[in-house]
Amino acid sequence: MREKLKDSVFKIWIGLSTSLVFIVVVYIFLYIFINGAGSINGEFLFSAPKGMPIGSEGGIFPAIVGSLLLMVIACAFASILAISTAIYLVFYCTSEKVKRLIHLIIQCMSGVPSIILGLFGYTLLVLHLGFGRSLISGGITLGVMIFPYIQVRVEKTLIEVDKAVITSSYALGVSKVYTLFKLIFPMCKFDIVSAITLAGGFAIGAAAPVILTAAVIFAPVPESIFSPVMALPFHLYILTGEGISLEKAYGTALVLMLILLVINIISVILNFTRKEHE
Amino acid sequence: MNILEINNLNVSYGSKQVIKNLSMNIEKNKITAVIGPSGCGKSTLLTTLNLMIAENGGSFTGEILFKGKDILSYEIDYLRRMIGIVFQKPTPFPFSIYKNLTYAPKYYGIKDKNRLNEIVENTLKRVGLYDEINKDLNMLATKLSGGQQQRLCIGRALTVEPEILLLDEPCSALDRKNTANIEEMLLELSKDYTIVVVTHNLSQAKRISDYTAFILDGELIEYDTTENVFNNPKDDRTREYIKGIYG
Repeated sequence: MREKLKDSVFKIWIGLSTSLVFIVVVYIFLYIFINGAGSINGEFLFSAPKGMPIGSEGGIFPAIVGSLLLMVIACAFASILAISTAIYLVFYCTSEKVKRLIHLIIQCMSGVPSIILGLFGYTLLVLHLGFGRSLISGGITLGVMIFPYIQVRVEKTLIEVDKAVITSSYALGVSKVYTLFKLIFPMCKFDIVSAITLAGGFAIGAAAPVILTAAVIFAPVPESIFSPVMALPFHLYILTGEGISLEKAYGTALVLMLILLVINIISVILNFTRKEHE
Repeated sequence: MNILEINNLNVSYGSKQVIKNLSMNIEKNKITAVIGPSGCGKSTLLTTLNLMIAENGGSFTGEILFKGKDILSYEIDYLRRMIGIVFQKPTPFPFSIYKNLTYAPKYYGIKDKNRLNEIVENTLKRVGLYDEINKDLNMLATKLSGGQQQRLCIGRALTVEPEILLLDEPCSALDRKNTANIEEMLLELSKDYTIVVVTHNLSQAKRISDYTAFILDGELIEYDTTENVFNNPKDDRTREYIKGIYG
């Protein structure tokens, strides 16, 4: 009897928790949708911010482009390093000590608060290397932020590849590099792309790392990687923080959320495709 | 003619010695069966022959001659190409059948489409899969049945034109009909290749092999023609092992 009671209490508990999370997510989304949908139109999406103070009228086009570019640079920078690190750890590193050390460093990296990463990027990239507040400084800083995220997932994917299949490839006298590029990558490509996409979503929503490294209140669509840019999260922060326009802020938030939604849907589809292939 | 000569081979994983002072010769274009209880070192012996042992963290001393030359004097890629190995569990790559069979030839520089098609066709015929699957070359290899997968893997090992084929209990995961298929295929293949097959299945060793080696605890107990080993074993331990399984 007691066990039965425990059982039902537990069931109610997990049921309630799940519905609570679900309700909160739906509520946030609907709330922003209802408040923001009104301000979304062609002009809002495709023109630059205008008015005095700037942002009170016009659109957010440079911020959309800026955010997408920041995301692309961050993903490119982080995934090259993350995939290489993962390959090294899984296929080349033979010393357990080195492996543990690298894992420790990556773990520490993932724990660094994003505003500190922002300050790091500001000191190193903006000041010392003289990149200034720019697309490249912001992209790299965001890249450092999402690096551990991609690395951990790619490493897990590589470890999960059936050892017997890899051995069969070596047994054909085929080199490690050929095995990596022609067997292991094709086997893992969906997982890797999905990891990068999700990390991209994480990067595009982050405000702290770009405040000091890339984002400015107003800039046109950037002409080079050394131009300062607008970014959606930072624009949102300015719109609400300075009380410029609540209506535009809701619109911006909705656009950001829709972009994230699309990114997540892509990732889900990729995961689904992978399962289909197996 | 002996294609492989093994002299005083010792193999160990760390401090654990798995094969002890083993010497035997493998004759060309014959089927040699290696039998013995689980954990006696049969599989280790196979993986040593094409140096796959290094990938598993083992090491060996002694001498193995392939065509009269120390295996260590060959490029490792070349050696593995010449001495192919197929494992117990079928390991098709999760690509199409066609890609499975062109994977290694492409690595060895064959780019010509016609040549590749020819290799795929010949290989499938060799392993007796041609009639069954020649229409579905683009089908995922992992969707084949277990027996077909194993034959495909044997075929994949043949695409690099090896001289020796090592098989590590190739039929242990298969039913009787598929086992019979593979045995028949091996008999056919032995005309062109030297085959060394590790097996648990004594009747299989008896059916297909010309020579049989009995290994116990890493030592070679008896090695003779299959007929002698099964009908007239010289060592009591061999007799007991063969009887034990039958009894």
